[in-house]
Amino acid sequence: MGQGSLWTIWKIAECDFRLTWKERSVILWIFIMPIAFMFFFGFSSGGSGDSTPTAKLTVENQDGGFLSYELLEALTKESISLVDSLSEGENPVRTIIIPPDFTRAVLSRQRVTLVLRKEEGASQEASEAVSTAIFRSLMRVVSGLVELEAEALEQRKPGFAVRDNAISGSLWEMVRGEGGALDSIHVRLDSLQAREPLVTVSSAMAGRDRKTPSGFQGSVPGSLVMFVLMTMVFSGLSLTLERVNGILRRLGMSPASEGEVILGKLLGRMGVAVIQIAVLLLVGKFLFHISLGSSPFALVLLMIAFAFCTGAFSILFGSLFKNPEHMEGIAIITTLIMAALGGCWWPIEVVGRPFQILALVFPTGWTMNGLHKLISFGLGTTAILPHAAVLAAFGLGFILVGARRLKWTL
Amino acid sequence: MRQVILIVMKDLRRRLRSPVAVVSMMFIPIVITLVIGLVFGRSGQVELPRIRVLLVDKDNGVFSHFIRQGMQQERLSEMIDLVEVEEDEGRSMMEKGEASALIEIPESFTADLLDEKPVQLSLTKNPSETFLPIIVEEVVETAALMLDSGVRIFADPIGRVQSMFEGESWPSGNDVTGLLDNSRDRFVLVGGYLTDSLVVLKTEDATAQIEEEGSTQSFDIFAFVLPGSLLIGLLFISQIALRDIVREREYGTLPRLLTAPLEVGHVIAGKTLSAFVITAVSCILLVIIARFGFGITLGNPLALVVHLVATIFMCTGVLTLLYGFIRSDRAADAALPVVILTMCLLGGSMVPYEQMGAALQEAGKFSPVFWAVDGLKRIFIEGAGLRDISLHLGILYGLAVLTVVPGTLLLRRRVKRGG
Repeated sequence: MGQGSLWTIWKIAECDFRLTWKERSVILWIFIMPIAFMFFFGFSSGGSGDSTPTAKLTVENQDGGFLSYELLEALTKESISLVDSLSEGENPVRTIIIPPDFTRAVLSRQRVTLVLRKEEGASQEASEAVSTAIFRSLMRVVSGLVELEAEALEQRKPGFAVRDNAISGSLWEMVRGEGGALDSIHVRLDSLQAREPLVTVSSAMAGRDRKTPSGFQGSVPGSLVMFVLMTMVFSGLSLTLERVNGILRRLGMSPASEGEVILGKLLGRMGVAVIQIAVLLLVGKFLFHISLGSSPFALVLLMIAFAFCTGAFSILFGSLFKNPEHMEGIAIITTLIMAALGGCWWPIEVVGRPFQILALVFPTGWTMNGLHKLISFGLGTTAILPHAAVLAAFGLGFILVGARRLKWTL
Repeated sequence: MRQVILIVMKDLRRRLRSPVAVVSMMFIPIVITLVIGLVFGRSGQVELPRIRVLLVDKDNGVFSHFIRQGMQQERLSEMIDLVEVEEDEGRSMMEKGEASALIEIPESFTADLLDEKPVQLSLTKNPSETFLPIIVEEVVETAALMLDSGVRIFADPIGRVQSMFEGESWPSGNDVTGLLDNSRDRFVLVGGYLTDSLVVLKTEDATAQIEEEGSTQSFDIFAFVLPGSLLIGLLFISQIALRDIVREREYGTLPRLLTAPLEVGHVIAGKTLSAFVITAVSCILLVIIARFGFGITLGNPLALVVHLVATIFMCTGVLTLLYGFIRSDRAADAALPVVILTMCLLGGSMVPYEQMGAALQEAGKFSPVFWAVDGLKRIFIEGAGLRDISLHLGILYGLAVLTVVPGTLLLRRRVKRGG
């Protein structure tokens, strides 16, 4: 390819690039809407807070005995938000109802039922977390009680014994009528509960950057990938318009070769995509305070591969249709399908294995996966080389088919 | 009136000759509903894939076996795919994101616990996953607490066993009997809670009561998703249908049409009515697909019809008003989808309203889309009747009138001025 040829490609690309930005409304689609989506989806899924939102649990304590307070104290050690009283106009999301006589029934070893009431609209996942928290808190209280019972057995206290694998009596019977005995159980249980745990769990994230893709950390890459794809798919529409209006035919009569025209068109589109990606990443970094990983070079490489792939897809898309009006709906549907199945709408981890594999059929899936490697794991260039290569291969395939179809028109 | 009907008939014939633009917009709700239904299943209960968990067991003692076996017991084994690995291999796999979590059990874990020394399990989570590592963390935390409780309860017999083995002489028969009695008593004490379930947690669902009354069915993701996506489709179809006014003005068809014995009002009314009819026909087709394609129970027929008419009326009205402010076809193409998508975003078409957070939920009530989507969901999911959605209907019909009247007046003025 000679210098003249490069110059021709550059001029065609520059012309397309300028024409795109001449239309002021593109600012809305290229920048404003993606940012709105980033904000909306990010805000709805936790915003910028690093901490996971905690599930709310309202307490309805009908007991008044010390064991219910021990249970509530144990619940405060869990990652849930306990609500003692609701402010005016506030509705409970889920409520734990501790029945009257809870303390007496448990100390008497009588069956007792706690109720967890979920209101309409309560998140299923948060309710599961609350159930687990209650289970663990009960375990803490009950194991303390069993220790107390074991101590009572050791001390052969009257009113409580194990005979022939059966328990006779209970802590309640043991202390009944004995002034202050219930208080001493309370104090002893408190001291047991206050001990440092023997088994602890230390949690850490793998990788270097350790950013979970939730809130803005999830919505920025997802919206970026979807809207860059949308911009490129819709720029295919302008290519169709050029075909319909005969502009491409006229261009074909110029000294520019078909290859130069197609490469120029591709380069112009890539330029638009690169500007869009750069602005959206900067917005993500400085407005939504997301991490972009620790390897700027790897990020640039992946994003250029994505820009090439989507730019080539734009050429292919523009070569497939004859009526621009028919393309709008198809363009939207194509973008929606590729974005949804590629993992831009929801974390790909929550879908079944077949859909996780299906995600890799689309360039969106590879881009999202590569972004996770860079942003979540803080990995470098080596980790995303396969992603960049696959995106380049996708792009090459798209441009070859697109060029073949456009040749006929030219 | 005859002229208006003639304009409507002409527009319908034109749309029938070239239906691709409208039909492709009809596919938007169908595709969104289908994709979400396929991915998450009809019941909407996300069937999580098996969670890959790596285990590095440097202890290989009784208590590390307890953790391993706990994760392989019936219910957890369906959920967790436990893979034992060497430390380096496990860390390298985690760095590549090949598992959701890595559990490391330290050396002398069992021995330290038997001595009642504090021990720590290490959990490394996959940072690119949001939910699965949290599930593993909950499981490990619970296993740690069970071990902690077990060791505390059986601390005494464990201590006795240790001192027996550490002693220089063989333990006496009385020692062994005492130990066995002590252990058995503690098993009996714990057994009461384990086998007799002395403390039970019962979960009550407020929505279950409604279900028992037979007014609704089990959760159907199609019925949950379709109302939102339907509104996106209907608003875009209304936009396409009303685009004719701007285009015909630009192409000069409208001024030519007005040389005929026609009033501007007739033309605008005809165009608005044809947009209403095109949106209504599309809506009917989509509801038929919802019923027979997605198997959605449509609920109270009267409430559904009245609500859909209100929704279509609102869509046409809002778009008529917006076109009243639009000067060119290019401006319409650029601005209107943005307005439509913003209304849909706020109105709960894209993110379920319940997940939007209090501030966005309040903002969402200012979007007409919210009242349309929420009303439809109530009809589809709760089997709501006219009375239940009276507020929705009032707002939708009110909005429709408040937008269609000034909208047609603005368009009329613009056409008269030739702008």
